[in-house]
Amino acid sequence: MINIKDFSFSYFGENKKSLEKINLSVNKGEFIVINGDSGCGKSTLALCIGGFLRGKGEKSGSLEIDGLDVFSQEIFEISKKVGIIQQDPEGQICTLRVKNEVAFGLENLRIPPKEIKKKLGHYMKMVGIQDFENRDIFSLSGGEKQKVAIASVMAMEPEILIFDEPTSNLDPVATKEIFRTISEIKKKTNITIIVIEHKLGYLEDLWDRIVYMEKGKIRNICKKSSKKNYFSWNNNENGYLGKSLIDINGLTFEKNGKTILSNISLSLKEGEVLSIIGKNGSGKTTLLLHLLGIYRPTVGEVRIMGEDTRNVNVSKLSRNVGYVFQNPNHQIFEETVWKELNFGPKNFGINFHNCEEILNDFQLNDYQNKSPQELSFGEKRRLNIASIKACDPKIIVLDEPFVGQDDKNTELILKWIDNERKKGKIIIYVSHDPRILSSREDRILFLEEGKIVVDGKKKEVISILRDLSFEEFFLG
Amino acid sequence: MIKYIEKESFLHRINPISKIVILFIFAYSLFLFNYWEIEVLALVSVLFLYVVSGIGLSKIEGKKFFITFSLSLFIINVLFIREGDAILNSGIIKITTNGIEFAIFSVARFLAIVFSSFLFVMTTEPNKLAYSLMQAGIPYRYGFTLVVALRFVPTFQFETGNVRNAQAARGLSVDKISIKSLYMMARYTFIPLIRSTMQYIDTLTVSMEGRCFGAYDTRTYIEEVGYGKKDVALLILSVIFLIGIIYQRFGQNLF
Repeated sequence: MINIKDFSFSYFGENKKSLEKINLSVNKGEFIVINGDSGCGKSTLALCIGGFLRGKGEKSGSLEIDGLDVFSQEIFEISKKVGIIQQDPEGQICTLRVKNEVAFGLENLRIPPKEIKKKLGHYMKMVGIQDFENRDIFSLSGGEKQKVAIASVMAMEPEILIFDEPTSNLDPVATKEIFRTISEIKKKTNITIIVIEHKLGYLEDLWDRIVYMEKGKIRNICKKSSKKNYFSWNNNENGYLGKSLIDINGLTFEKNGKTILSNISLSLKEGEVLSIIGKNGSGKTTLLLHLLGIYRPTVGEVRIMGEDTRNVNVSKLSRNVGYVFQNPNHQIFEETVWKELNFGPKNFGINFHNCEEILNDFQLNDYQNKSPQELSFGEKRRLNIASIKACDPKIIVLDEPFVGQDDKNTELILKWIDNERKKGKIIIYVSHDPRILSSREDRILFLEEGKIVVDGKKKEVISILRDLSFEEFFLG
Repeated sequence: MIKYIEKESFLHRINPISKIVILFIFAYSLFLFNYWEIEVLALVSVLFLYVVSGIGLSKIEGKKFFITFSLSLFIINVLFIREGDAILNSGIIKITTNGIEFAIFSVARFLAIVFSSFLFVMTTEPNKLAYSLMQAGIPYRYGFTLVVALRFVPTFQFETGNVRNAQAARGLSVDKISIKSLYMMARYTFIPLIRSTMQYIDTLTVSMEGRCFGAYDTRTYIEEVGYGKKDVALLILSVIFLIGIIYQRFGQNLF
């Protein structure tokens, strides 16, 4: 089906090869998982197979699908055979209604409306969105959008389906749903499936082979995985707990007539690490933005270092609360890495002299005069955190810091969290990755529909969540 | 912002293309006549349609602006037109019947055109407009430019909010508004938004090309935007109306 021989690829304008001497052949109906650190060439390989990189770089060797040389075909000839589902559910949907989206590809192929409707019904049912036809795209959650994307590719009946990290933007409940969908497709069709994924745990009995990639090369192809111990960094010692810096009492927050948070009470002491979990839309980000004073309580109060946020302006609060947002692109403002690190201190009027030291800590020292634009996703994330560190806030908030990060980066961030904790900082992080929670002993807070369901130690949280059937949030 | 409001009225159901044609004929005909009575009648009819379509007059935004602007327009006309029978004449200020009639005429015409356009926007689902334009023969590449733009408007609104929050978190003050802070905010909002737009473009390109967008010159549509008898009837009626008023206006010279 897919035949890749001595295949190398480098993008125009880049010296280094993104893919080097790839040899891989995939049989019809096979289920392949591709795994590897970020920047190892996984996505490039997927895009090459999909025919998207023709004319975008230089290649050598051959890449054939059913004997057709992919690089000499028009994209749409390949698209009839290969369907691709990408990481970001938001960006890959181009119409406003579910029906239009799922029909989009078939309409482009000039299939008569009657036939489209038949296929639409069939594939929407397979993916589990049979009632969604007339739904507005804006009303869907991330997981639902991803299902729409899957249905819209499935409707074109490709022979090969590629999933490029389909769940990295989703919460554990939605993640499980997507993998259930993939397994359904595997059961009901004979499509060849390639999944690029870090979360191998979800794919247990589905795959035939796992391809491990490293720096553009295939390092290893194996038939059965050995159970891997995630994250060697596991700091269990109970550190010093100082005075309370965050005090939230009976916080209820309403926006546009909807109650988003209700009756939240929480207090955090110096040297404490809190992990907040919950589905997308459960109010996690809204709660955290209260710490910055961007939102203020409708009822109740939020006190940061003793002061009611209603009486302090955002710029003063942000001096003490360092906040790293989800999307790295939304929080990088300057033209060079060095300037970016100085952005906060300049605004706050802080005398900032340990820039080099921080760049060193986050392994960014080689990039100080580079544009942040040229950094990889993982490096951008490190830059976000380094920029917050530059202002040395007492409270550090990390909203989904581990999304899209490979194991190396994740460990670096975890180590840093524990170092800051020892210095008496408060660190709050939101994470969807069950591997992280399972490998640590942080205090955990579970939010559901704007309410605290449980707040406590891992052991107790796990057992309560299991009773409520939210076990997706933890491993095994 | 003036935007589409979902309701079940005959105005909502008219095919968007018929509606555009009618809107243009309506606006054009307002310019053909120089009687203030007709302009006022037109304005009253438009306001009547607001009520009938279930939109309601309260949905017209920027009332303050329209009232001030209309009043200024009225006063300027009254003061500067000095021909006709004087109602009041005190040397500097001379108010004439011509002046008042022309003032009413200008204000009514201005409001009729603006409010009818608003009504069009509020009763036409943009998505339906794009699809009906494509089905009427506009190349689908242009049509989808509109669809994709509509698709991403809420996304960018949301992202702008995120960027503002991230700025605040890094000490770019949003508490005080000065020219400098506005400049800084514009500059530091623009850069991150461009960056995330680029990312969306990459994803969207793969997603659309991967589903054969642009493979052929034409495409099919799962559903036709309805073009019923009423739409045709309305279209014919409004064209007859147009011919009628053109004849009325220029008839003597045409034949």
